[in-house]
Amino acid sequence: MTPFIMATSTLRLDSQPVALQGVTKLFGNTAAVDDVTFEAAAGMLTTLLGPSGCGKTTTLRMIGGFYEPDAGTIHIGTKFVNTVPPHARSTRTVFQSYALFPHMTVFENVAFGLRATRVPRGDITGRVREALDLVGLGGFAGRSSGQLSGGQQQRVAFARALVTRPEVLLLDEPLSNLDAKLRVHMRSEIRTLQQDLGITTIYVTHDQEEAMSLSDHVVVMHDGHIEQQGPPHDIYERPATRFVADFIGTSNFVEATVESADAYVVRVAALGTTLVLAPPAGATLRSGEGVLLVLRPEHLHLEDAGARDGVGFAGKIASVSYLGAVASYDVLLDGGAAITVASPAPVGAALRRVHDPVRVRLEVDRVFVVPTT
Amino acid sequence: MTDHARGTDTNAGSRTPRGPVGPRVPRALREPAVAIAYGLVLLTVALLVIYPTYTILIESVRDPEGGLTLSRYVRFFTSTYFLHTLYNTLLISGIATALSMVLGFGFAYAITRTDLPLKGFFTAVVLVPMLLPAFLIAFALILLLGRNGVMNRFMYGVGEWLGLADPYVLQWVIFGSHGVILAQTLTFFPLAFLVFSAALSSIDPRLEEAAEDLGAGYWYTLRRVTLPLLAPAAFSSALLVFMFNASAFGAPAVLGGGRLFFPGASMLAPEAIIQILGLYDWGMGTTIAVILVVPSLLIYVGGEYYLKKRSYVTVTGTPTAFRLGTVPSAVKWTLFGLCLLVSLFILSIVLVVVAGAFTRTWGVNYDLTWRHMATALQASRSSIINSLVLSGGGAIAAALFGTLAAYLFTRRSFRGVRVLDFTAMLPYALPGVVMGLGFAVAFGGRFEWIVLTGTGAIIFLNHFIRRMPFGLRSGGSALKQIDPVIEEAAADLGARPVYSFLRVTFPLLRATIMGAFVFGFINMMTDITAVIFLVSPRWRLLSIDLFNAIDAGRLGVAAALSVIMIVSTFAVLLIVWRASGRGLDFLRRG
Ligand SMILES: Nc1ncnc2c1ncn2[C@@H]1O[C@H](COP(=O)(O)OP(=O)(O)OP(=O)(O)O)[C@@H](O)[C@H]1O
Ligand SMILES: [Mg+2]
Repeated sequence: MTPFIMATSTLRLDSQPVALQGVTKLFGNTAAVDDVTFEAAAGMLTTLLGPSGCGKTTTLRMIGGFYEPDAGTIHIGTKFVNTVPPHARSTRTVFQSYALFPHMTVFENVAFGLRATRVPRGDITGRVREALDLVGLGGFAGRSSGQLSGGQQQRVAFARALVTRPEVLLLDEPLSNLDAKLRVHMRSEIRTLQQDLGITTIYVTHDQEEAMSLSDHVVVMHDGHIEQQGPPHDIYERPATRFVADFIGTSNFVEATVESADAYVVRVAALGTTLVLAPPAGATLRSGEGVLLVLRPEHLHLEDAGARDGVGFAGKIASVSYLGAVASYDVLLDGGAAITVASPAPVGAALRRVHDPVRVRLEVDRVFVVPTT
Repeated sequence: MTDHARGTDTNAGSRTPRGPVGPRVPRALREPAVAIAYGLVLLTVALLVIYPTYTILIESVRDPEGGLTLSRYVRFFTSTYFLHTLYNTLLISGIATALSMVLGFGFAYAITRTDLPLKGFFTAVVLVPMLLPAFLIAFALILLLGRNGVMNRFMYGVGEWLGLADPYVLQWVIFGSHGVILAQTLTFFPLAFLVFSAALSSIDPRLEEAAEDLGAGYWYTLRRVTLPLLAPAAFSSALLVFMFNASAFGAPAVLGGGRLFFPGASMLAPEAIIQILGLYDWGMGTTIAVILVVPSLLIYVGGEYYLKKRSYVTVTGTPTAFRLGTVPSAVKWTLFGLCLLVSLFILSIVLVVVAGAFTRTWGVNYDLTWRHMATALQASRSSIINSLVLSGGGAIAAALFGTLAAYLFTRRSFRGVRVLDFTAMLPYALPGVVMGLGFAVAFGGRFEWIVLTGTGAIIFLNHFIRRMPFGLRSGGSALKQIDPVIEEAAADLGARPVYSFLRVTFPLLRATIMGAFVFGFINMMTDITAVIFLVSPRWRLLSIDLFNAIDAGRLGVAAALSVIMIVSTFAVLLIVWRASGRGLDFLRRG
């Protein structure tokens, strides 16, 4: 696989932030996008992450100009763009299906945006060559677009978007048509390219791993609205809602009742004991309120039965799955709750077996409290 | 909330109110080029579709003093003569439609579902009638089965040889209802064939396989699975064929005489023409036209509606091949016999016309001669040129305009566009008599507004508007096959609508546009029912000259003109075909 060649000399871009404020899009009477507010900072990669049908594509299409919001505002830089048609915007999209023009060669595809915007004829060849070199397709200019593999088509789509020096790059699940291995490879190439060019990028995906590894800022969407947004580690470590905790990574949920809460600590009753935890950001809890505790499998530790340090619960192993680097255990706690624990698979030693009695220890500072409402 | 969420607070004031209140001007129309194109379409439709239809309606209820009257409608529905015209039309059209459906289905089934020999030959021959004017088939039938037709001459000889008292008894003379029915069936069954073969090959073969897998035999599967799946397509194409039959002019004019089911009376379309061109009764002519319009419209609307509701034909995108050869051989060879017979008959039609063109006196003296050809070329030279120029220009305009309209209606659509689409499709559903008469009334001296009578423009515009729906429909369905994301990509890359249309959409639709041109051109060359009202001594047409020659009984010259028509049509198509590769390329490169 040819890597992207880093030749960013004339592809310098004038990146702009994109700001959405209260943006809503209705199809019929249902809101596909509902009161969405976020900003994609200049030069950064922002991901719209969420399950199928949550409104990611619709949001992206409003930024690209293909839909007009029914409410709210979209700004690119300081420019109000709600009603600006796509051809007059400084955004460029890499479509999920790539949308290469089937009747044109690779060269003509990449040159299209330059010709359409009347770039002087003399500049076109040089810029197209440069863009093709950038994506490692220097030798493919004369090919017809039908004679390319999926990965090559995608590179052409990138070159075609970047050659016009957009202020904002929009990517709609650009990797979903590639095989798993190529996907991981292209992911890092996209990130490197984006950072080298310093181009504001909005990236749509339903793959949380992709979002985590690529983004400066993640916007988690659900049913048309934003559940939570922030840097990847924030989203992962401090999920604000049950949906986010569930969607990002795997989580155990344990029901708990608030005994007392203040700005610094919250005491909850759970699993037959009282835990002292950090309160959730931005929510005030009242005594007696039901909450959920989020326990990441990798933040739980399996110990031999009888160990005593820290906070732990006794139980029996219900099932084991070996995943190579880690082993995942389902443990049935003595109190009746079932919980999944991931632990590094022992090298050379045997895994624990079903029915083995064990103790599950929590890292109390990594247990998150999520309001149930 | 993070920093990202703030930042834009200053814009909060410009938030538009929520709710489904759309912007007043449809978004599509905010592009000046798109708005202009829509304006053009609207103007065209208003002027060339709505206005002529409206004037026909008005003319039919206008009394000489300037008031309104329904007297002509009363006269039509109380006179035995006119009612017989209506009955003849219904009966003959019904029978011809049924026969067309049977033949069309037989051919389609044989070609798509069996491994019969000569399938390529059948496919080619079945399309021949589409290239011939309807009255040409009727004319060829005279050469074959008229009193002096080759077959009847031959049968007469057989009768004499057998020593029959009346040697004429073996003859089967084509004049009368049976002749009209035969001619119209031959003319219209290819249409049914096209519909059936498209529907048959788009049925998922797994459905029939599933039926067989569940234990159903051949006949049971055919009856309970295949035919019901075809029903919607069959029904709507039957309606269409019936409509074409009911508004046909050529065959009844050539073969009808006064010998139809209800003798003495003709059929509706020829009657309208008689009223106007023979009796100069514009009121009665337009009344009959309106009487033709109403069922045509009902049928068209009904067919479209029905098809939309119940189309089972699924385009799966992954065509699976049918297993040929599972059809019982009795069925297979019956179909083969049918196809062979019909194909040979069609071929003989072409043959007798060619033979007739070079034969001194058909049925009497079969000496080879160039006389008819020379006469035809000399007398009709300007007609030939007129036909080629007006049809060529009209077909180009119709194909391009239709495609543009299809693009607007599918890609730049907004609320209300469906009404425009429907109106633009009307010329397809409206009988030729109606469109021709409509133009004659609307652009003649009777409404002193735009007077085009006697010009080439009126013929050109009529050609154009009647065949524009081809481009509109085929362009529309081709556009449905092209993912709109391709055009979005063009806009995304900064291409304005016109640029995107010319460089992306248009090149992708090339084959479709060519198809619309070819179809349009053939139909314009062979048209007669509409243009019969529009020709003038200054602007004659080949098809009209041909019809007049047949009407005057000058069979040799008529045959020569037919050959000229067929040859020149093909020549043009061939040239266009050859040139189109390069011809359209310049649009891409600019
Ligand atoms: N043109 C449309 N007309 C009507 N409804 C639409 C249209 N486009 C999208 N929707 C609906 O809006 C909702 C959001 O769609 P959207 O395409 O934005 O989802 P998505 O998050 O991109 O999903 P996916 O991951 O499956 O692509 C869905 O419920 C969808 O059915
Ligand atoms: Mg999507």
